[in-house]
Amino acid sequence: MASNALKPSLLRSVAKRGYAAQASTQQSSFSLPSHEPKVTALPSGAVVASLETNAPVSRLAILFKAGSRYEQAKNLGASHTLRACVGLGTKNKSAFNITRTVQQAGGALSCESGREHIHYGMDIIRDSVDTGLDILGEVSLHPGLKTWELGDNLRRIKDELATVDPSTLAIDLLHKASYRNSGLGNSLFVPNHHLGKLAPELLGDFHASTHTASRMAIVGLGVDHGTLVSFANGLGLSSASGASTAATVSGGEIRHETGAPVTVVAVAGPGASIGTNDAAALAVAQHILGVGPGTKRGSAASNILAGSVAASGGLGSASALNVNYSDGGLFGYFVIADSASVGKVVSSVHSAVKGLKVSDADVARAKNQVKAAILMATESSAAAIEDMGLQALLTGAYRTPTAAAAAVDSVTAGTVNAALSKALGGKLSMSAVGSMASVPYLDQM
Amino acid sequence: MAAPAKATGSFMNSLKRFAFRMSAFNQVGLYHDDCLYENDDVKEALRRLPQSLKDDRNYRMHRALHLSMTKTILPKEEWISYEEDREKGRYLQPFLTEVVKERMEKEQWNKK
Repeated sequence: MASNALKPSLLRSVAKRGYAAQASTQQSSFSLPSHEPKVTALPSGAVVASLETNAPVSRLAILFKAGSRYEQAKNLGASHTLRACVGLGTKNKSAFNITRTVQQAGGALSCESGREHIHYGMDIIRDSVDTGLDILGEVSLHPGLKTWELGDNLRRIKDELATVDPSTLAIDLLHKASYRNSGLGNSLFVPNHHLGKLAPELLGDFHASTHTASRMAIVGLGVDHGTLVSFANGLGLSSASGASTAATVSGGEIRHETGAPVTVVAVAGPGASIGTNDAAALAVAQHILGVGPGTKRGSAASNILAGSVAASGGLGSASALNVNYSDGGLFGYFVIADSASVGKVVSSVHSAVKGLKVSDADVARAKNQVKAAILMATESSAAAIEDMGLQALLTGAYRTPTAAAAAVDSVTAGTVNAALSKALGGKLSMSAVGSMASVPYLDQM
Repeated sequence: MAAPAKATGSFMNSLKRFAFRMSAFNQVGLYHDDCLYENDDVKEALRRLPQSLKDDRNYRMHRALHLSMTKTILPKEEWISYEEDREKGRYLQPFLTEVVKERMEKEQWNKK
């Protein structure tokens, strides 16, 4: 009976209440077994990572290196279209079947994509993990790509395109300006001239060349590692290496006039790639510059960028920008300002960032902020599995948030200054969306 | 058992040919799938039909309507043969089977 009482059962709290009148038995000290993350690299090149969380819900994900950077001119927008088509019919299951099965099993199917990856996710009640994996494999590996379903789905894609906000667009254009024609410059979104024109065969080719075992990671939270490994082995994927592109920062600027009363400007130089020492140093630099208010409804007056916006006399806000990819990154700043005063704000922020020399006190403060940010971001299991998936996919390993936070400790003022001068001394790129009248050009700053 | 089965087969075959001739749809240039009653399944299947096949279908229907209006039929050499109808006339079937399968699946689920 003792072992039964310890089972985390839904009825347990009810039973406890029912027997509340009885004398409670003495509870000896009890601790949940702690689990370490497990990572297996399969001979096919696939990486499987999992972490037991003892949670009643399992989170599963399959990731592929199939983001927009692997698109070519003929199939620009393929990764966006594939993402939007998740949940439509597959080779063996109809859309209706997938929806009902997922509902019946108590799950949620999702798909996200970035410049480097596509993430097919399934959150499901632990008992139905097999159903979840079955659907996940079907959806990610055998998309139906039926002409009529693609046509019906266009509305959804158009809807997404119509709700892209100016800041997302600015970041997209910043990548275009920085990386030009190399893969990372590709937009996350399907371009207008390909809207509804990507033939199923073209999408199928993109899918086949990117969804291979050597470009795959399978990750899970709250799931048995062996189950994931045998699932990965049973997929029978080819291990062809597929397309790859180099991340070369070339620099440039793109200005997009919309006449909006609010203008967004992003400026960045070459940043650090995932997992490097520079990445940790730049993360610290990012927090020294400022990433928005740390106090609720606070003025963020303590950080450098907010101070420089206030000093410029303009109306706006600024935050530091630090994006990392597997073989490159971007570091810079991001300004949203009233179109009338955007010129003043950008010039002021630009000189503050360019002239930044960090002190030991700054670094000590920012290190704590970075650690808190890393740990906070992975508090929710939705973010944790995404982090785990990206690490497994891009680095082939998994570093726990605690270990990642510990890696920040080695950062010093010297390394931050060195990383900053490397990033901002490199080729700068700029993108602006809004009213261009008072936005300075890169060579004017 | 083989011989009677074959005999039944050839009997069925000639019956099919007879029905095909008697229907006379081939004389106005229509295929089997041009003459389907357009219920919801067929409408959905038609929506999924690739444009080129849809164009051909529309052309055959226009021609047939015109022939009907002028109370004529095609010259005999343009009649559709039984073999041609068997080969090309079932162009809608793959789409229709899928539509029906999807509908049956829905009905099965909704029964639970």
